[in-house]
Amino acid sequence: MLDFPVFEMPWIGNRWLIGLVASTHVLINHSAAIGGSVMVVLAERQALVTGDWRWERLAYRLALIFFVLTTTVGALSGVGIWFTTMVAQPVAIGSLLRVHFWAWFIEWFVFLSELALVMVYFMSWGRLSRAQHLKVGYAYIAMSFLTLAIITGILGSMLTPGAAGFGQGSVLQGFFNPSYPAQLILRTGLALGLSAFVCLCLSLKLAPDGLALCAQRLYARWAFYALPLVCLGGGLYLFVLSDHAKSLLPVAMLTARFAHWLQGGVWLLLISLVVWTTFTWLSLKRARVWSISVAVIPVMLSAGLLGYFERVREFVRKPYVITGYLYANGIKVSDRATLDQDGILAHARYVPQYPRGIEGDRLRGQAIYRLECASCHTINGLNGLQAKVKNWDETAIVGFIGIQERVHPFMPPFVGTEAEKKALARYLRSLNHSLPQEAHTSRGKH
Amino acid sequence: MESIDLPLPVPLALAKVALVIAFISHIVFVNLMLGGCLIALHTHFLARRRSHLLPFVQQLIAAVTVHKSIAVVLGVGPLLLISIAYTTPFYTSSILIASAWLAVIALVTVAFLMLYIYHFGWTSLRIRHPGWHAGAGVCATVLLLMVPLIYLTNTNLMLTPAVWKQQPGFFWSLLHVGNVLPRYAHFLLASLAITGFWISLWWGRTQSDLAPEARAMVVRLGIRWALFPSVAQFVAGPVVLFTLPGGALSPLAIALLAIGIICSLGAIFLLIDSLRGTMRVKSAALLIGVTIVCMASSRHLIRESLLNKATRSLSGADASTTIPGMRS
Repeated sequence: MLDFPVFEMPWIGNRWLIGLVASTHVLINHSAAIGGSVMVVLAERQALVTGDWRWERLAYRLALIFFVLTTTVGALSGVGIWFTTMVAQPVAIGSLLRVHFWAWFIEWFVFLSELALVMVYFMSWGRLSRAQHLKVGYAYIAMSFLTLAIITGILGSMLTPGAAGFGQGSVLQGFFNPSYPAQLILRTGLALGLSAFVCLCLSLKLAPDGLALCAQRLYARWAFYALPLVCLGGGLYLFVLSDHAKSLLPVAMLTARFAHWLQGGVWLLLISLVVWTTFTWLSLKRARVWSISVAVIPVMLSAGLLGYFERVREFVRKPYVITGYLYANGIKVSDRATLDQDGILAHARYVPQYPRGIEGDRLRGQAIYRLECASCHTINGLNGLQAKVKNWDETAIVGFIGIQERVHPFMPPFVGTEAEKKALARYLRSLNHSLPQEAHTSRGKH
Repeated sequence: MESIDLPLPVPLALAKVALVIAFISHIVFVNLMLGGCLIALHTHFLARRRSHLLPFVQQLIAAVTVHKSIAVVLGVGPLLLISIAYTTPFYTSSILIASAWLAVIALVTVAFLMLYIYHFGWTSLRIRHPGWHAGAGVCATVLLLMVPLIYLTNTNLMLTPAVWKQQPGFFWSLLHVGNVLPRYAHFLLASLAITGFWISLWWGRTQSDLAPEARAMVVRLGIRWALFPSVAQFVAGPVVLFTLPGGALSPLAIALLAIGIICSLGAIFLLIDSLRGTMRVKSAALLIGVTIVCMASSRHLIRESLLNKATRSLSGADASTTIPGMRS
């Protein structure tokens, strides 16, 4: 039932490990591949339409940066998501791979085509005719978008796996889940907006003499076009969220500590959109180019919005990692009754038998912490439990563990026997206070 | 009850056949990437006195940057298929060496960035700061050389469930589980040999960018890189075989290995002929292609035998320790 050893990422914790790798991938993939392909081809097309070949030089310089980024950090962080989930959430990724195997298999061929096209596009510059080269660029845009269209279905199914439940009924129902159109529109908008702002910023340095202002206007226009998609997709996404997911928004949009500032979070979002609009409008009207220090602001803003959306998307799934099927700590919902009855340690393959007594309880508690808490918490790093239970005695900890899912609806329920709950409380207590000495030496095994 | 009890999306046998095919396509490009790095560095070093080799090194590095991207994307397929066909063994061993396993991503990312510095810096950085330029190439190669050690440790550890409960780390597993180091030597020699074949074929084309004399020299260089590591495999190969755990070799695996060895012997003779002037590199490459297919297939059969053996012995010792998903 709990067939895997537990990996603990020191200090940042498992959740942040996956989050960091995934965010890096999303930022590179959305800005340099999905949106970046559009922006580079736009500049190249501009050269053909206007006959001003400085656009082509700009397109090549932008393509070089995006090519290096996508084929190094972008590609490896994509594989990195699998590596990190494999060690931090093996049941989740293993289950998703089984249900969405064919989507991933097709995605693999789309990746191959995307890579082939980006290499042909970049390396055939000056070798193919301009018209042919542009056609390769269009094909590259199409393939990049297709990768997004496929992965969005898989990600969305984790929140809304379909009426019959995850792994049941039609896989396509889970794939084309209620959040699918909203996510696709939102991600497309964010990808276009972010890459337009990145290209605007880069053009200030890379554009050949005299072209920077034209490039600023071209990319500001595209950032402006992206805005309705962001608003429409974001609005639709909020609309299709379940009531439970909506109830988690205050924490998802900020953190548990600042959840009561929800209004502040909403205002922050609105201000971001106003800044986005104002910046693009001013960029279209200005007769001079921005300085880099100003142009970088919308880049940070749109990247922040993309990261913010990922944070919200990840958080509103809680207490599940796959809604209704798998809790965030990798314990299957269907196993809960058995684990409550037999105890979680009885089914944990990699937990040895510990002796009875206070020290044995602490060790059992530590093992339970690793099985049930370590996917989101650390001991003394991010979301660390040592600080959270600093002034709590064992009784208070036991009391909280018993109702944690009611106090914090984003937390999975404790799974296991009463004795195991007490063992976990003893371990958590021991993080701040030394345990009493054993009254007598331990005898026998648990 | 198992952690992952969802039905397999494809018949297991089909997933395993697809895994072998996908693995071959991936590993050939990994060979070309690593072998390309090593040969480029070596030739770059030689080119200090023979500058006419420099255009070849430049073209080889450009090719390596392409091969490395193909290798990564082609690696997604085997990763997907091994996750389906060997979920529990593969995930367990990955978790047990998690720190090293996760380091693969950082190592390869930095290596690829260094490779791009080596490649794109050819016309400017190499002239202005030759030490930094060569350093980028050396750094990329050293980082890439570490990665197969981690992969081999993982694939060996996944076949050794008897040690899983001890929760061994990476370095212990590297030295004590299976035969990581002999397989590493075997892999490095294969990388050099396959890249040697590719060099002699790619630069042997009439439409090659090099001048005819330089082209002939590069072709001979490629043949030598194909030949000598292939001969050395006749030392490394038996070491790999003799260090395999008992019961690894089924009759079919032995037959496949025998075919592979015969083909590689044929390839060696054809390469020697080619060095003497009768160009038969294409035929030799075809034979090596058969060898690769045979070796990859026997590697799969060895994996199956070892996992089945481990499951049987663990079932006999303690029914609770059987490998989920591998129960017969």
